[in-house]
Amino acid sequence: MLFGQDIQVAKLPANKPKPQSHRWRERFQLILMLGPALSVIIFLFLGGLGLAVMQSLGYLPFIGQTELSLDAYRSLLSRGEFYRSLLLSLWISFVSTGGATVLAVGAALVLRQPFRGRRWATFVFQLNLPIPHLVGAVGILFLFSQSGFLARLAYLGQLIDNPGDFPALVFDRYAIGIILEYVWKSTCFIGIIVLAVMQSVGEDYEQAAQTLGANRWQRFRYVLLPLIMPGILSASILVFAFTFGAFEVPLLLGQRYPSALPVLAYRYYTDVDLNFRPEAMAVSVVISVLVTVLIGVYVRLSRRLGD
Amino acid sequence: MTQVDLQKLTKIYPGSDSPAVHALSLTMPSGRITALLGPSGCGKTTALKMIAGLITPSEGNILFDGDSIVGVPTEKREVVMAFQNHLLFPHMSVSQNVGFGLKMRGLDRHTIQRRVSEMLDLVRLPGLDDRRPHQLSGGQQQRVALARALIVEPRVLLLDEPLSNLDAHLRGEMRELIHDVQQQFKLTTIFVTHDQEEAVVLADQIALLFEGQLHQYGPPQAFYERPLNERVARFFGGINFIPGYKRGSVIETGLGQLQCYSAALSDGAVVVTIRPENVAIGRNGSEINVAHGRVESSTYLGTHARFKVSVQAGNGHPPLVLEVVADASSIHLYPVGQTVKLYLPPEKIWLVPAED
Repeated sequence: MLFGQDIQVAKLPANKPKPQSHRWRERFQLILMLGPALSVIIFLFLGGLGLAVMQSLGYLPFIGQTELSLDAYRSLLSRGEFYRSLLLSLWISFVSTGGATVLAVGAALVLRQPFRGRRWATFVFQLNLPIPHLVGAVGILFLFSQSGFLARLAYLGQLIDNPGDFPALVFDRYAIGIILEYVWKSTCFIGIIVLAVMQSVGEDYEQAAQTLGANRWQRFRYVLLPLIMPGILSASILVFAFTFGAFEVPLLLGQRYPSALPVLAYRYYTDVDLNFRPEAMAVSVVISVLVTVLIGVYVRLSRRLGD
Repeated sequence: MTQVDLQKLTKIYPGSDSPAVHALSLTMPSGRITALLGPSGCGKTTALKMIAGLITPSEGNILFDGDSIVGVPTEKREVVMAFQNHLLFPHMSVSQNVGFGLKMRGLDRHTIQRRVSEMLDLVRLPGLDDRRPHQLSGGQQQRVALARALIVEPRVLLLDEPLSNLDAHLRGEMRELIHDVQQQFKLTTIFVTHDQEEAVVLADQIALLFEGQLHQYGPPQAFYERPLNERVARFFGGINFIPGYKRGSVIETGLGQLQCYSAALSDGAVVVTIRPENVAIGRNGSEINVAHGRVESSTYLGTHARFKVSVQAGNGHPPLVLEVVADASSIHLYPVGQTVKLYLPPEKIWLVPAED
């Protein structure tokens, strides 16, 4: 029967709200799964930060000091050394993050092109990823110090009269050695992330732009860069936060005065005079606050640049 | 207005034995719409991308008004391609997307704004300037993509499956818009599709490709009325194929002798083809090209009815099943099992070469 037959309407599953018990179960499962990771963050990171804040406020029961005050911060902010250290740390973080980001994006642009031996090139590019910063710092020392490999090479090649004439790239005013180490180590880290983002974006948008008349630079500036900006941002923020807060490379490759903020904190912390402890903690708290604020500013600026 | 000539255009991808496009030669007339039609993987999008300059040909030439553009970079070809998945820049608003091509050409902001506004009116999307692509429907995105392509006034407009991502009800609307816009700008337009209906409705000329090779090129009617081979006929909905032997205007077939006015092929083995809608069912009075058969099945399709009729073939030929499309009301006249008379009008019969 063609016209008189019953029409069966397919019953679609209704989008019913889940019952309360289900939602509670889901939440419980979520907490259970995130628990181990969260407990590490809460106890080690937030606990440590809380302890640092308390000690920076003068709470040091082990030397009989329990009264809270802002003296450590006042003392710190009145010292020229603190500002010079702050400027140096900002310089190191901005230049090394910026340099590594530029190099990483350039390398990712090359590595995403099809060419013979690309897999090998990508493998070599990420080789230094597992090498610790300390090893990198020693390498920089061997290579770039005035008694290092390059200085000797320049001397042998009669480019300089004695190795001491080699420009000071380590323990120097502009922290070139520190920046070189951070750039060396961070370029592949940012590059791998950016390369993955570029590959997921693909080339279709750029091809569309190309047929609309965009040249190579315009395609990069107006199409690719904004599309990969989230990847660049998340990778470079991590690098920025690390370089601003890490102390081992500035300690090994930096000059004694002024020293980077984390080195300053370390010096205060290891001072024989325990009265310096609140100031050491104050420096640590300032580093944490500054990193948080700067990341916020950096994200905003980069997003605007991306638009 | 630009005439596009493809001369033995070939593309062999590295590591592949067979060419994606093989010696494709076509002249696509200025100011008209040409469809590159074929099943997926037939090389039509590769051909389109070679015209756009996004893929370099392995051999052959592409001419715009007689001048080779093979060495001209994509951004300087004045060819705009609208992609199947629209590819609107997600970080830009609608007006920024539409004005993109003009910005790349260094036009001032006021001119861009004015032209964007005109173009959004043209594609019937006024007032959506500040929306982001993800806030638009598929149909709206397609219109924005079209506006973005048209605003730069290209010499050639390339459309990659322009309707395939749209719902059925939006297809008609978009088809009409593309047609209107093309008529207004008199743009040489080349589009790729796998849908023969889409090609027939939109295109002035169709190039049908299988496995990278051109099988037929001509106006849409030719594909229905004068297919060059069985494969072309089948792609365009041909179902009835009867092997036979041609002697002059008479073809010996399993249905008996058939008269045919088609003189396209010389005498010898041929395949007779006739479209289902051209076979008359139950018509009295004809003495030639008549066969009797039994209705095996019938399907009511609203506007028409479709029958499968098995015809007992003579001279030791296996039985033939012919498909017939008739008026919807005939569904009641010819129930399953009834013997019916079929008439194959000589002027509707077409011959294609017998395949080996």
